[in-house]
This record gives sequence, C-alpha cells and structure tokens, in this order.
Amino acid sequence: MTNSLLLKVVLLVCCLLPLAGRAEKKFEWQPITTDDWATAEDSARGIHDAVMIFEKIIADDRKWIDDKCYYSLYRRIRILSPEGREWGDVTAPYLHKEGKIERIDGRTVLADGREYALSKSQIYEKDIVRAKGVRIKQKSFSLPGVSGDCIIEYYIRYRMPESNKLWLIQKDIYLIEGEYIWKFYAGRGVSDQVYAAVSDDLVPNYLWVNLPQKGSVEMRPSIKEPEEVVFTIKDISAFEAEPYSPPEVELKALLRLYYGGSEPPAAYWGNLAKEIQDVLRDYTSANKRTRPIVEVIDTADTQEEKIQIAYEWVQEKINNTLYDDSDKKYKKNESVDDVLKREYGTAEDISIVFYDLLREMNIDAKMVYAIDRDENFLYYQAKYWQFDRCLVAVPNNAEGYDYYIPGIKYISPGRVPWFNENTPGFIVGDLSRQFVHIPASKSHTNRIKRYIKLKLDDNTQLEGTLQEERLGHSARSLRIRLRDYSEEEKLEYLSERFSDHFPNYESDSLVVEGLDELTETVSMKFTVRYLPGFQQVGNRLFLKPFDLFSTQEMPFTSVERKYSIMFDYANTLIEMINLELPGTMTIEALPPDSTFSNLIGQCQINFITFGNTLSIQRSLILSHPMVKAEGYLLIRELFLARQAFEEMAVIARTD
Amino acid sequence: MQDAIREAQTIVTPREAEAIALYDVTDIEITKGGRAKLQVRIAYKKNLGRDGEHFSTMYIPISPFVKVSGLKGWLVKVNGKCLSLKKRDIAIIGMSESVGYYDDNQVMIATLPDVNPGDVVAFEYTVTEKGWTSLFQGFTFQVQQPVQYARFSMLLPDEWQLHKAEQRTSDVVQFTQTGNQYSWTARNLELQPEEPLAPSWSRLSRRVAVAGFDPESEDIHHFPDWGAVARWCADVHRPPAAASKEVADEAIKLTQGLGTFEEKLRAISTFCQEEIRYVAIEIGKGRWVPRPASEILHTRYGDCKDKVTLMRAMLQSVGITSVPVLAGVKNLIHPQLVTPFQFNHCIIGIPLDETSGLSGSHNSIVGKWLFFDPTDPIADIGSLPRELQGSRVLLGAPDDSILIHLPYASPRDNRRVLWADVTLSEEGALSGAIKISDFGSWAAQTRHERRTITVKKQIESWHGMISQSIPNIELTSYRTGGEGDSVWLSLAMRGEYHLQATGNYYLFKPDIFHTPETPELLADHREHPIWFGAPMRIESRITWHLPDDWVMEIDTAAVQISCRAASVYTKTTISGGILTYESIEQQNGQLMQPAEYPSARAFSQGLSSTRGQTILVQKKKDLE
Repeated sequence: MTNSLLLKVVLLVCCLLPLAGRAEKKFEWQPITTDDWATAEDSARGIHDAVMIFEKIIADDRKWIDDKCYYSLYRRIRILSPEGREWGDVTAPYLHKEGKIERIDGRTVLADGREYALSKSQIYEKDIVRAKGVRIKQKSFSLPGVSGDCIIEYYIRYRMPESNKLWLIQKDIYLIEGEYIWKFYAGRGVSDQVYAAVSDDLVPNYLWVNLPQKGSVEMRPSIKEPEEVVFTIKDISAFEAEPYSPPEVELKALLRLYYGGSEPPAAYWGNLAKEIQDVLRDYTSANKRTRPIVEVIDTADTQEEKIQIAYEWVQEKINNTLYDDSDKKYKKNESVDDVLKREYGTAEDISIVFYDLLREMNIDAKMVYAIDRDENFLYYQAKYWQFDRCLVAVPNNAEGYDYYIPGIKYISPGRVPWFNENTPGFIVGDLSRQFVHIPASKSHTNRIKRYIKLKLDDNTQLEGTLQEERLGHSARSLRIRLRDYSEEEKLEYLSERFSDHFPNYESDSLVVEGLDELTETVSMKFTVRYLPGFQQVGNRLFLKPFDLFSTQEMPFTSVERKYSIMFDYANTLIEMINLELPGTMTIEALPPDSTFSNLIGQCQINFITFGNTLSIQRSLILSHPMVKAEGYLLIRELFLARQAFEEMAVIARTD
Repeated sequence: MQDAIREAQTIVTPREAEAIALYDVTDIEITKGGRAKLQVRIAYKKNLGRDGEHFSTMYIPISPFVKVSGLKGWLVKVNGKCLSLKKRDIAIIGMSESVGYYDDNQVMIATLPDVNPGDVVAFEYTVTEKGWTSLFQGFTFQVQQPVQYARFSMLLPDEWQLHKAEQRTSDVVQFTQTGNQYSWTARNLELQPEEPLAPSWSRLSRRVAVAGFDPESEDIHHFPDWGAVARWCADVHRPPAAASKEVADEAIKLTQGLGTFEEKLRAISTFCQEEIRYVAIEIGKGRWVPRPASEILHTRYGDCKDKVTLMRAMLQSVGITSVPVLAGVKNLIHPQLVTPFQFNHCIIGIPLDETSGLSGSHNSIVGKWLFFDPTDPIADIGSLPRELQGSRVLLGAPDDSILIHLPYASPRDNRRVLWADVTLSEEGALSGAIKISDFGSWAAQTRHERRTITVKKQIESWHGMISQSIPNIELTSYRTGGEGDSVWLSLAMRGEYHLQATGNYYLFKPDIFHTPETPELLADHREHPIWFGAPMRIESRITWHLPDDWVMEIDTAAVQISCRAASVYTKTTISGGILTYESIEQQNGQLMQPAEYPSARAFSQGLSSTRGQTILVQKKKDLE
C-alpha cells in the first residue's frame, strides 16, 4: 500500500462528513487568436501535418478524501494538411465504475469562421474489455468538419478515485504550450488537527523529467499559502522513436506528481534506509531455523565457498513462488523462520533468507534495491519507491561489492539479470553511501559461439552441421524462455529461432544440452543444408561467407541520433565456418583479413585455407551496452564496418 | 466429438503442424422468420508450443444481431485429467481498437489455460443470429493445419433454396443433399505447407459459403439472382444520395467554369477523395446503409459507401448520373453465391457515352462503365487501385445486374525507370546523378508518399537503398517534378567507392539499385500456386565512367530469363571505359499453377543471380 493511500485510510477513519460538492464551473472555449491561425509548417522544428497549440490540464484533488479526483483535459490543435486530420479522431478509455467521463465537448473552426460543434450523437461508447473483475470502457469521437486547414479543439473531464501521477508532456505531435494546474489536496473534509498530524507526508511534490528547456512553476494564489501549483512548458518537439533506445517513458519529457514529504532527497533516502533496516531486523530476528543450516555451511574453507553453498541451498530448498503459475494461494511470510518452515517464498523472501544466512556467518552482506532498466530509470530526486527487485551485496577485495540475486532462476552466484546491470542500486546498511553502481558484465562472459562445418559437393550443394554454445546472459535468456516447455516444444522453439537467424538453411536432428542445469554453457547441434546456390561466372564460383553466417541487422542507418543507445548487455559473437570443397575445385582468391575496432567494440574476419578446406571466422564484440547519444557515431562506425565485410567474396575455380 | 477426443492420443500429427482439428462441426438451422441457430462443436489437439497458443482460445464474434449461449470448454490433458472452462477464462473485447472506426462488434474470447503439446481442447456453444443477414453463412474446413473431421450442414425451411460457393473443396469435401438438408463433410485433410510467393491464405483456404433464400418471398432481402441484389443495393443507396441544397451548392461551386464532362468529374472526384476523411460508422444498419449525403458533407468524413454516396449526389447536381458498385477487396467473388455479403467495399460506376471523351489511358473502363474508387487516396480517374484489379464487381443498377470483371493494369501502367550516370576515379572517388521516374499507378503511389512522408525521410529511404551497394554515399540536390501521369525525382551523389579486394581481383557490381538476394523459390516441390505480385515493370540503365587502369572480362551477351508470370532481361556493354548496365524486370500479375513450379523456380534463381551480378576487375598495375 502506498503511503498516500495509507494516509487516506487514516483520514477516512477520522474524517468529518464530506463537503457537499461545489457546482462545476461551466466550460467555455477560449478565443482563437491570430497567432493560432498563423501557426504553419516548419520542418526545422519538425512541424508537419499538425501542431498542438496548447494542452491545458486541471487536476483537482481537493476531494481526494471522497475518492473523487477530477482531471480535465483541453487541447487545441492546428491542422496544417490533409494528413493531419487524423488528430480529429479521439479515444478516451476509462475503468468502469472506478472512473467516469463526465463531459466531452469538441469543435472544429475553419479559417472563414465557420464552426462545427461535436454533438452528443457523434460520441460513441463501447466496452473494450469485459472480463471477471475488469471492465474497461471507451468513449470515442471524430470531430466533424475537419479539413486540411482548420483548428480543432476538445475538452474531456474525467473523474477518478486517485490523484493523477503523470503528465506525459511529449507526444507524437509538436506542442507549443502546455499547462498543468494541480489543485492539490490540503485537508478538505477532515479537521485541522487530524490534517496537521499527517500533512507532513501529504506535501505535493513534483519532478520534471527530460525537459529540453526549463519549465515554470507558480504557486497560486501565493507562495505563502498555496492552493494550487501551475506548471507551464513551451515548445516541446514531437517524439520520434529510435532503434535500441531506453524505454520510451524514460526519454519523453514528462512531469511526475506525487504526495510525499518535504525533506530533501538525501534525507528521504536516509529515512527510507532506516525504515528498511527496521523491517529487515524484524524479519530476520525470528530465525531459529537458520542455525542448523549455518552450522553446515560455515565449515567451508573460504568465504567464497560459503557464499556459493548458501546460494545453492536457498535456490534448491525454497520453492520460488515467482515461478508458480498455478492458482495455489500462498501465505505471506513474516520472518525467516516462516520461509524456512513453509519452504516457499517470493524472490524477495529468498534473497532475505540468503542475506540472513551470510550475516549469521559473519559475512557483511547488505540489501540493495535495484531498478529494471528495460522498464524505467531511477530518479534520485523522486522521493517515492521506484525499485523493482532486491539483491544482496557482499564487499569484495576491490573496495566494491559483488552482487547476488538467488530469488531469480538461472543466475550464477555473483551475477545479476542484465536489466539490473549498469544501474544504480539503493544500498541499506552502508554508512558511507546510499547508492552503489551495479556494474555491467564483460562481453566475453556473455558469448555465443557457432561452429558450422559444411561440405560442398560437385553440384554446389552444401550440407553439414551447426553447433552453437551459449554463455552468460545469452544462455540464461534461453533457459528462462524454455523453462516450462516440454522436450518437444524446446526442440521446436530452437528450430524456429535457428530459421530466423539462418533463413537460407534447412535444419533437422537437433540435440540440445545444458538447458536445465545452472552450468554456464547451453549447447545445440543441428544437421543443416544450405539451400541457395552460389553465383557462377564461367568456371568461377563466388562464395560470399556472409551468406553462410547468421543474418545480421544494421539498425543504425540514420546519421544523427538524439537519444542514448541501449543494448541488453555486452556480448561477443564468434562464428566459424569450415567449408570442405570438392576435389574438382580450388581456391583462386581470398579477401584480406580485416579488423575494425573502436571504443565501443570490435569486428573481425579471417580467412585460412588448408588443403581443400576453407576456414572463415568472424566475430563481433560489443563492449558497452549503454552509450550516450554523443557516442552514436562510434556505434554506427562499428556496425558499418561489419556491414562492409558483407561484400567479401571468395573466388573458387572448378578445374 | 467425444469419440474424436478419446481417439486423439493415437493420432500422430505432422511435425510442422501446430495443431490438428480433430472435430470441427457447425450445424445450422434457418427458420422461416429468418433466424439462424448454429450449433458449434470443435476440438483441437495441440502439437507444438510456439504460436500454437491460439489453439487454446476460442474467438467468437458477437454483436447486437449475434448472441452466444451455452459456451462450454474442456481441456483434456495427456494424462487423462479433464478441466472445464471457468467464467474467469472468458472475456469480451471490442472488435476494433482503431481510431476513426466505430462499430458494435465484439469478440468473446474463451481461453483454456496451461495447454501443453498433446493436450486436447474442445468447445461447444450455440449462436443465435437474427435478421436477414443470418441467411448468409460460411464455414472454413481448413486454412493450414491438418483436419481429422469437419462437417458443415444447413437445414432450410421447406421450399427455400440455396446459393453456394465452394473454394478448393472439389477433391476433398463430400457434398450431400437430402431434401432441404445440405451437408459437406471432409476427412483427413493434410497440412497445407507455408510456401513463399503463394497467394494469401484467404485464397488457399478450403471453404464453403452459402446464402439461403425463399424464392416466393416478397422481402427484398431474399436474393434469387444478382438482379435482386442490384435492386436492393440501388434501393438502399437511393435516399441517402439525394442532393440537398448544400450538396448541390458545393458541387456547383466546385465545377464553376468547368465545361467538359471530364473536368467536372475530376473536380468532384478529387473533392470526395481528398476532402472527406475516412471514418467508418458501422453500427447497426450503418454496416450497409450509407449516411445522407448532406450529413457526410457537413461532417467531412465517411466510409467507402458514404464517399460514393456524396460523390453521386454531387455528380447528379451537375447532370452526371452514376450508380453505386459493390466490390470486394481481398475477397474472391464467386458468381454462383448470390448475396451482397460477398462484397466488403463500395465504389462508383459512371456510364459513358460517345460524348464523354476521357483523355489518357484508362484501365478502369469496362464496356460503357467507368469505375472509380473515391476511398483510395491515390487512384486517379481512369485507374483502379491494385486491390480491385482482376476482381468482380456488381453495379447497383436494376437494369445492369451482371458481375463485371475489372481488368488488370498492364505492367507498363505501373512502371518505374531508374537511371544513373556515375564517374569513378582511379583513387576511388565517386560522383554521379540519379533520376527515378514513375508512371501510372506507381506515380500515384509516389505522389501520395511525397505528401505523407517528409523530404528528410524520403532521402533517408533512398540513402538506405543505395548505401547497400555503395556504403558511405552522400546524396544531395534532391529535386522532384511531374507531368501527366508521371513523376520523377533526381539526386546527386558523392562518395568513396572501395572495390572489394579478393586476392589479385576486385569485385565490381554495376547495379546500384538492386542488391543481391537469396532466391525465394528454393524447395524441390510445390503445393500451392505461385504469384510473383501485381503487374509492374522496372527498367534500369546505369552508365559507369570507369578509371583507365581497370581491366575487366565481361560477358556482353544479353541475359533473358522468363516464366509465364514474369521476366527479366539484362545486358552489359563496355566501350572506351564506359560501361552500361541495362535491365528490365516485369511481372504480369498472373497466377502460376504448381505444375509450372520448375519454370517459376528457375526464374526466381535466375533473377537472384542477375541482381547479384559481379564483374571481376584487375588493375593494369597489378598485371604488369
């Protein structure tokens, strides 16, 4: 339960009768100005078919105590071309019974002054989802009279049970001016004494994110006694997605709003650490069942061995409810003893038990809370819970930490899931710091190695075998994907993935090993047949090695980049082909060996012949999974270099 | 169905199949009052774990006309355990989430959880349909997956008759009729493989569609022949197409000062095409009855039949008659299945006479009728959208009620010409010019793209294409133009051209517009027909001014490879350091049968080798 919700429960218990509702102020269209009409296409600013002249939002939380928060949205859009007319089609979903759309107004205005009002009969409502416990409805409309040169505007008023927490400022269209008025909750409906007791935790807080320029904030009617906050921003360009970017919500300009304390961030994190420590202390105080386990583990010679044994123990002995898809109901564990007695726990329970085992062995383990970077980023200034999972940190010899996450399957001790690598972690119990950096794993620890052995016959048909080995995150991604699959399903899935990577091959006879154990390598072996022929000119055959390797994409075609680049993890791909030629054929010419490397990584290709066998090896090393936009040219350079290798051809001659 | 489920464990499914339909039966009874009651029973055995998830789920369309009752489901595990469908496993969702599309259709989704290979899922339910639309029914015996047993039956009231159309069922589905009970049965249908360059699954599926009717009925919703359908269409479209004063005034304003039939027609067609945005309100009768022309004009939006209605009203105001025309997009129209529900689109038909006098080439005129689609944003008067070419349409004219076959465009009506002149220095510096000209439908498509895609993105797209042949190329001086039914663009290019070295040779690819591709037709055998695509023609001419120190062996003989549906011609010539590469690729849109596969495969492989043509170059200094 969030803090603000908890506080609401407290207030509800104490509150007076709710105030009678005030009459809603009648909505009126604001006058359209000559500047509005003068708005025109501007390719320098990315304004093409339409531009949002303004978006004005009023979020009224004053009746939050009655589960009535009002959110009204007023947008004016200048349509500049026929392609911009689609902005006249609007949908407004809402949760049935919890929320309601109280009002919709709309109109289209043409340059000659003609006006087309949206009528009630032009608003359609339907269920978009109806299932047990969930009903989502939607109101939608198409504004009448929209042409390629007009102004459209609409107003929608929602009622919701909770306060709105996000203003997504940046959209798919240029925004000239945005305004958000937050009429925050200030104790209406409860006595002054009750409100005073909880108001320290109900301070309206905000955080601008990714603004290209500063927004303005104004307290009204005065700074001394504010009743509402007005946020204003101007000139936000349309969002354009780019390949291999962080999550979109972390790239777009937005405003986060929440109720919390008024202390500075450092104090918030300090208090939070203390609260968590208190919770951990309570949780681990009841741990009688830990002792016998520790007695066995503690006999190992080194700390490293003790950690390994403890890690394996919690993974094997405690049933991880995270991976249970059945409807079985599990009781909530309140202590280490609960977990050990019941022999089941959540991922967090398992990590805390591991943490407790280590501490009982005098290993200075600490809890760290991490975010999943494929979903969101951490904002230090945001004083609310942002984390997705917990890890256990143990100091290492290099004055840093090693990290463990036994609550997640198929992760070796000392490694964390890739989406927690290269992120800040909130550490509890370290007096010298509040945050740590969880490092990224090295590229060689996440490796795919493929070995293709082929024989070319006199009819230029190629047959052979393909073996693949996976290490690190490459292996784990497969294990996670296939964990609930039957043997048949595993083989079929792997065959399909093979076809994706090698579309020119046919395969069968797949054998796979290492999927079920937490060993580091998953290995697969296929029998393959390469289908297309090779280009033949006279008695010469052009063999293009890159046709035989897996297909590789080149996603970085744009010469410019706005956002940082995010790959999953640093990795190495090594592919080797051994091609046995028939006795009637000889190699006439080989391309030169080539290597390209820069700060981001390296790509390489080598050619060797021995007897009638041609051996080709190519590799791609990506050393950094996250690169700022300024480093984009280096990324592009690396991928262009790899792309240039694709034109290489071996010339063979038939006698 | 129970027997089928019991025997399921003994059935071996092909490895490539996702599931096998063990039992798929729909029995329909039509009442005299025009209601249909469908009993549906279906059971699948799931084979594999990938996309086979959708075989665990039943999707049942519902609407105000169509209700579902008695839905039951079972999951029979491999170990014999049987689980039933629960209420929480059923959800209803809106059919369409698109903006600008309003309907009252929904889908009931029933999902049995945790279905593994070897498990059997089964559903049964009853559908009740009311209204005349229930007289049209269809059943798909097979799309791709193997089928153990499938049956479709229909019981009509006494004295009623049936129109029917059968697609790809002739040798695998048995038909029987006993009185007014019609029945189709199929057994042991084998998996239909996925093959490249095949027609869509809607054309390959094995399917039966039927329409019942009472020949004695005076109800206009009983259709004994196409004339009845045409009359119904005309009646439905007549009132909304009445021109109000506002509609007439707008038409007159648009055509002021225009004297000829063609000028007026173009002015009004352009208005309906460009000024009325596509918004569909398919609620209740709105599925087939257009909105009034005055309302369409006022709101400035409408679907296909609305655009036709407005256009008809406006044309009428300036003295041009027209009719609505029922058409099918991606639907194969069967002449023997007399029902308006084969059609899913509406265009306009305009009768021509000797005074009409249209200029230019026209592939949209059949007999005395000119056809035009105001929904298509790029179609011009005289041309048909690709999706309608080769299809059958029905005039909504009581006196002209035959199905008309719309022609295919010729390849020359959909043509692109690629031209380049490139100079290469000894040091590898490259400079040159490119011009791309489009004609006919291709030009219309390009015009539309230039309106909807920014110049920056257009250049990026060309850059992406050419940089596959010449990496690190720079494109500048972007210019466009057009006249008549053609458009062009030109670009200047500059960069470094590094020949790929292999031993003492260099590899030179003269074609900068096409990149080598793997042939699409590789398999030894073929089940399905082959379709290379809509009619089109691409001509390329690339002239290279090469460095003096290059020595090449070139085969200057022309290469011509063809099959019944497509051809390619290439020729390379060299004279005094100037190399010219020409190619012509053409498709005529014809469907090739499986028996013709060897010819199609040879063409596919030949096309691939021409696109990857490589010339071996040696430098004089290396030879000395």
